[in-house]
Amino acid sequence: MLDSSASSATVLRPGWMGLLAQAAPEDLEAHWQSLAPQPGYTLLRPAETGLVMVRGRISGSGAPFNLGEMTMTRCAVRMAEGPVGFGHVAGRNRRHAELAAIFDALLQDRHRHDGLQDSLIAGLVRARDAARSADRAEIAATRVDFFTLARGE
Amino acid sequence: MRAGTRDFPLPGFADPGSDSQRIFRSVLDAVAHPGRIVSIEAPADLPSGPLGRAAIGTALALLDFETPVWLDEAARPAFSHLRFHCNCPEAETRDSAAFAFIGDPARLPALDGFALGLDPYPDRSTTLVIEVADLARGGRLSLSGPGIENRNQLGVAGFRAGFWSERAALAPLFPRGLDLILTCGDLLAAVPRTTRIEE
Repeated sequence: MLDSSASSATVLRPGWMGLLAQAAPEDLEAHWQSLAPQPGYTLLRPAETGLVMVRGRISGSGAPFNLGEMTMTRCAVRMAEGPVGFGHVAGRNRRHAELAAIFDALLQDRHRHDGLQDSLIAGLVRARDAARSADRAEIAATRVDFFTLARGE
Repeated sequence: MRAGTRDFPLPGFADPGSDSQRIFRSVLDAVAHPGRIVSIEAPADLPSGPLGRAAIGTALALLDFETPVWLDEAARPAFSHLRFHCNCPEAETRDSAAFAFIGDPARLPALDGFALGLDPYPDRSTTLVIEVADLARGGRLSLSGPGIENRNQLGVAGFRAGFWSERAALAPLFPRGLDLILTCGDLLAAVPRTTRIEE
């Protein structure tokens, strides 16, 4: 997974797909509404909800194991200008999957790429980093250090 | 046709659940009544190549990740479309295909190269979906057998010479054999392995 914590760096496609999937749907919707004119698109695969098996790796041998199933919604769109975008989001918010797919496609369009990196992705990186450090601060407050007093001998 | 450009996937069914169920019902009807011509109303976009609405609709309704697909040279451009919507693997050889899509029946390869099934598992055979030039006005075929009360007629055009006798030669292998789905644009008729054909 691409490390996109440095907000100045340009986020690559796996990174932006993850950011779009984790973004607040209302932020994406607001950004979409602010685009003028709104680009046309066709739904290659209308948003549909299903289950995916989440797999992990056992530490040590690294053998895959099934962690469990989660609900996922996916969508694929093709913009009128050509690029095909995919959105995979956790949960069952169909509009979120569609917006994630739309922005994935728009970010592949080199005429729009730089503008979207600045106006949308940079903001998503900041929001995610802020949420992460808030989580960390909350957890750090309840941190307990265990130590053992030397006994005997 | 967008010759010379990349084959992008195109939109599939507008309503995948009910569209694929309706097509499944139509194909079931055709297979249960060999020679009956049914119309497939599949609101799917058509990829480039000779396969028509009935063939593509049948593919989108029946294929999934467990059905390896083989396409002849003419039908090949449709593969990326089928792969996108059905997640179907490509069969490496004809005899490992669950479905084969034929766009050019005049150059259909030998039938015994497809999977004929096994005596204990006759369902492990290749179902051939063949786009023919005509279903009603071609060479007269007279069909009889299970699912047909007296006789049914088909007028199939586009096959290479000797095709029907090659198919008849497989009959003694029953329950092994090949099921054919003949498509022509929006129309579809089935010729399962049990049907006897007189030219």
